[in-house]
Amino acid sequence: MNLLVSYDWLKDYVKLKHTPQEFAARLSLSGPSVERIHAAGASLEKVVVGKILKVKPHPNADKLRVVETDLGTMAKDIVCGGSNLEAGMLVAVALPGAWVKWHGEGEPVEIKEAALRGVASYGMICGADEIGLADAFPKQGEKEILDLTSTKAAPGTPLAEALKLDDVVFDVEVTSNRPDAYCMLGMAMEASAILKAPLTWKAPKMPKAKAGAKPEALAVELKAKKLCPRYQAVVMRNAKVGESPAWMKARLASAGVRSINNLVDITNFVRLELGQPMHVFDYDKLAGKKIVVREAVQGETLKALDGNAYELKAGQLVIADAEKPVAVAGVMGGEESGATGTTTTVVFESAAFDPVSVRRTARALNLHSDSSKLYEKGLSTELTAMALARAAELAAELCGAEVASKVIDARASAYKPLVFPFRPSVAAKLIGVDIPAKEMKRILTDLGFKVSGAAAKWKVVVPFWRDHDIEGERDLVEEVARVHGYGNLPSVMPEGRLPLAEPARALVWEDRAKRLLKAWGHVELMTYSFISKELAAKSDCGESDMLRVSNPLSEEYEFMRDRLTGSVLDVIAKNQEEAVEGRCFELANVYIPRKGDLPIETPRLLIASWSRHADGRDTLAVKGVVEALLEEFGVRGAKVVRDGEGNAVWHPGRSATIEVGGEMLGGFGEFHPDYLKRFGIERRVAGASLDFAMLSALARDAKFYSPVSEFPRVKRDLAFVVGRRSEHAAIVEKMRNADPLLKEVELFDVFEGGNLGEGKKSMAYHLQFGADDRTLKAEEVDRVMETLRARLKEAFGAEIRS
Amino acid sequence: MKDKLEQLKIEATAAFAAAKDAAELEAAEIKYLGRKGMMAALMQGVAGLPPNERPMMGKFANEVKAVIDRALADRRAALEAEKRGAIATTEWMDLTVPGTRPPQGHVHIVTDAIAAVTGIFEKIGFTRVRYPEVEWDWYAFEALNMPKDHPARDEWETFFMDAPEDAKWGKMVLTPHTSSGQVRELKKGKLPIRMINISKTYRRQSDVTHVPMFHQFEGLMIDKDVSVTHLKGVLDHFAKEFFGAGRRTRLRPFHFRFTEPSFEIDISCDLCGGTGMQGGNKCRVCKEGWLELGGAGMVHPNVLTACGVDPEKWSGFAFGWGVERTMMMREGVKIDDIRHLYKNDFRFLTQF
Repeated sequence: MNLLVSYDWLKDYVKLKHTPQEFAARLSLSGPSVERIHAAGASLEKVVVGKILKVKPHPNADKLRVVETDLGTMAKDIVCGGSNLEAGMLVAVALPGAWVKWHGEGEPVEIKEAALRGVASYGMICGADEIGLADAFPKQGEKEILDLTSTKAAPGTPLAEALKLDDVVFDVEVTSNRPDAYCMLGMAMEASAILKAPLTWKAPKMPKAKAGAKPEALAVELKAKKLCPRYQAVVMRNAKVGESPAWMKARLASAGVRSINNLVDITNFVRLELGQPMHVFDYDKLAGKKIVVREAVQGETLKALDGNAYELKAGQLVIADAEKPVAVAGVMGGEESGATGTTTTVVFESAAFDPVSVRRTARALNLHSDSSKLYEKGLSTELTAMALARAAELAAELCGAEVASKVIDARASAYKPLVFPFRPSVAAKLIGVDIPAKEMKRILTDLGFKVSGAAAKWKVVVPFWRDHDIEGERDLVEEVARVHGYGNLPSVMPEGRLPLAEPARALVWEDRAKRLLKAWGHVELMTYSFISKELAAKSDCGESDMLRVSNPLSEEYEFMRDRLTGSVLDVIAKNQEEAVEGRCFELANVYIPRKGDLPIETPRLLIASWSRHADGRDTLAVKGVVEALLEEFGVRGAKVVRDGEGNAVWHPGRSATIEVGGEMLGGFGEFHPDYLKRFGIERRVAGASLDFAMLSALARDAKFYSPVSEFPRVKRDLAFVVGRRSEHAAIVEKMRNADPLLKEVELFDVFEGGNLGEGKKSMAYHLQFGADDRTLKAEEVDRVMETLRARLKEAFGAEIRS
Repeated sequence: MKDKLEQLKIEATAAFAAAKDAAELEAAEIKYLGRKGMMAALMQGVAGLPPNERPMMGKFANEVKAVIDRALADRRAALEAEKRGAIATTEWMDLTVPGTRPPQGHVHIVTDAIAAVTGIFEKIGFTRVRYPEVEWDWYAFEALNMPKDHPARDEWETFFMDAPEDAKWGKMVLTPHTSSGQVRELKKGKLPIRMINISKTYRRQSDVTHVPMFHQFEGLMIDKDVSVTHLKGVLDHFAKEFFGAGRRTRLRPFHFRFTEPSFEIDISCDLCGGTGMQGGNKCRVCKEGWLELGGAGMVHPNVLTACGVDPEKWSGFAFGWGVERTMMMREGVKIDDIRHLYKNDFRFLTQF
């Protein structure tokens, strides 16, 4: 969560002499991180305060006026259409060269000296929205110009200076464990410890009730002590609700908060200053003059300050009066009980609420506020009194209000500060440098910790504002380390014995497989691990066979896939216009549910190939890739087994499984055309799906050697015609068994059609013959060739062509 | 006979010299040196001479043949040289046509980033591991010192599985961070540890800067006397290897439940050279000269204790960053919408 911190405002609490850049750099390295530095008045260059001397009619336009304006060093006529122009009024004048947004819209434009409907105009008198101040000075009417009379600034004063915007604002990221630093005082304490700058802040004091005045009655009943460990309130009367003074508006504006009226502004100011959310009720609207802190009754409703009605659920914490809820505790007040322009008697609330309860309620109602954001992080019960006093102080000052009740303090239990041991030697060892004990003590003390005890083991009392984030000795070490400065620590490469750990085989082989597939022309896909119900149905995955996400982000991501097929085909379908042919793969985990245990997460490899052709070439392409991959992985003895049955996924005539050592490694072939149609793919797609866990377990880096024969091989070709369902593997086996002199059999041509006749195909092989102990004679080879021809004729009815 | 030979020598050498191309030369060769050519005929004549004349005339005939042979070879060489000299014209090629390419594939850009990260940490003894993506609550949260009511354990931020809760390990979730791998590694009880865990992780968000599935890498080092200075050393090593020697890093205080102290690591911005300003304007990429790289910290003693490691004896650090984000910071690849990474549009994938 980010906080806008005005440097000028911060200096109200701590003495700082650093340049903004210096301050930002130092703070970032030891405390909350300054993400950006904004010069607040940067957009107000050449915008000055002018004093209206005379409002004259425009000779050529009814709706425009010619305004004689004192600009300090000179008086000039400026043409203006504002609705609230009056002599004596202080206004914002954009001089020639300034940049403004016309009517607060669009891109900024530069102001030039110009004639408007025939009358020369020196610059422009601006509305708040035209110079980016709409938030701080909300407009009441469309044509209203910004009234700066309350600033009492001299004509000619730069507007940034008049509004105290000659300041820099730091955009600071405060981590979620440090709500105490999410305010000016918290930031000042950090700055004080980090920059060794003295804190100048004085704690506020609750004003005294007017002597003799009759107190207003207010009963507070704390029913939900667990969700509200402390509730404090005070009644104040004679409050005059009105506009806040300029300084207040400027402070709020620097933090990006709109001014509403002095009462509401006080609650926001206290939250920004001390980090304690506040609420103010109209005392006269509280039924029974009673506040009950309780859990909501199911179905109760509340119209909140944002104008919306919210239906509450049992268990959500509310602030109620005698009859009904008046606020969602820690989240937002109700509209009805809120302070308005006619309010005179008010109740300030300053309370601590359970962070989880606030978070869940805000989330359930989808209602988030600056208060809820703070409460969610966890605030101390001990912050409420200080904040209440500060609010009362400001109400007295800005609204003339008087304290009209005693300070009500309902709490669940007495406060006991946290105490932890701290060993300077352990801290030094973990940080890696020797920080003197004296400096460690200085740091902890500056941050508000109380240090006592023996030299080796200190006793450290945690200040209340840190009672949610400091949980033990280690947290104290962090405090010392960060304030000392991580930038002051050396960078040291660890020494010592390297652990003996073998890299996971699967990971090493996965990387190799990816590189090989890339080299062979494949595009790697990475798809989500979850698939939609629709994709599951298309891919033929049974919903009950998959793990389901109980809170998916959308229907797209409902099931943990148990195969990659659907995801990959979906990608091919989406790319088919672009990629008429192609090769791709995905290597990723799939998730196979188990009863009573985590699913089996196991990597699978899906390779796909497609083209315009339906002649099976893609099937062979995929098979070739698998063969090459197995060879690269040193896996031998893979067998292609036709399961013969066919199924919805695979083509019944063009698919088979691959087995190694009797175990199934995967399958390959063409996807069934009907299956592809489900994905909207009209072309043929071939694929191979491999169990990559098994493959990487089988993979071997070992090399094998067989001696190279010194006798030359004899090469012959053999071509013949057989029935088209005669299989190459069977033919090769028949030939190989024929004679040991036959060393190599290589298929180089298969041909169907022509004048071969129906159901026939021609096959042609390169053959190599050889012996390890001699050069073969032609007659020897002729003899073996004869045997081969005879065998092929007998086994396959082959007609020999050569 | 001698005259005939002499005559043949003159005639043949002249004929070879006059041959204008390979075809003419070959015709002349056949005429004079062919099996049925003039030289052969004269040789036969020599063979028919009386025995006393034969040796001398034979020797002469051989000399003549050698001269003719050389003349042929010379002319052949000359003709070939001539032809070679002309290849600039005769064999000219258009070299601007595309080359005949080997098949060109593409690994996913995330795969490349993972390989780079793995390599850098391998060099300093960190071994890559991978732990479950579907994980028990205990490993993903509980052992990592995240209290039951921590926002990350809400179903708003984490994906839960529709599976029965385990009495010991709690609910089944999709791990939102690779930090669960710290617990798995520590529970093995093999110390010291230098691990790099890279895995898919899941969070319930999807917008231009978030994807519901992404990758993280998690480093863990546990040994005796490991301190913040060592964390700085290792992270500096990574930053310089991955991003380049000129880049600087810094640690800023941050907050994570499972480390204490915790840090965020920033790296100096490449675009503005770490100044935060570009041509008089604020740098559009970084924050005041720095880019957030990721989180790190000293392993929380509660985490060590939960995993059965004595925090009084062992200490260590951990860091866990998004692979996608880290990669995009290096490549200067400005992917306008991170979801493109997982849309698998070929026009995107084939760019890397």
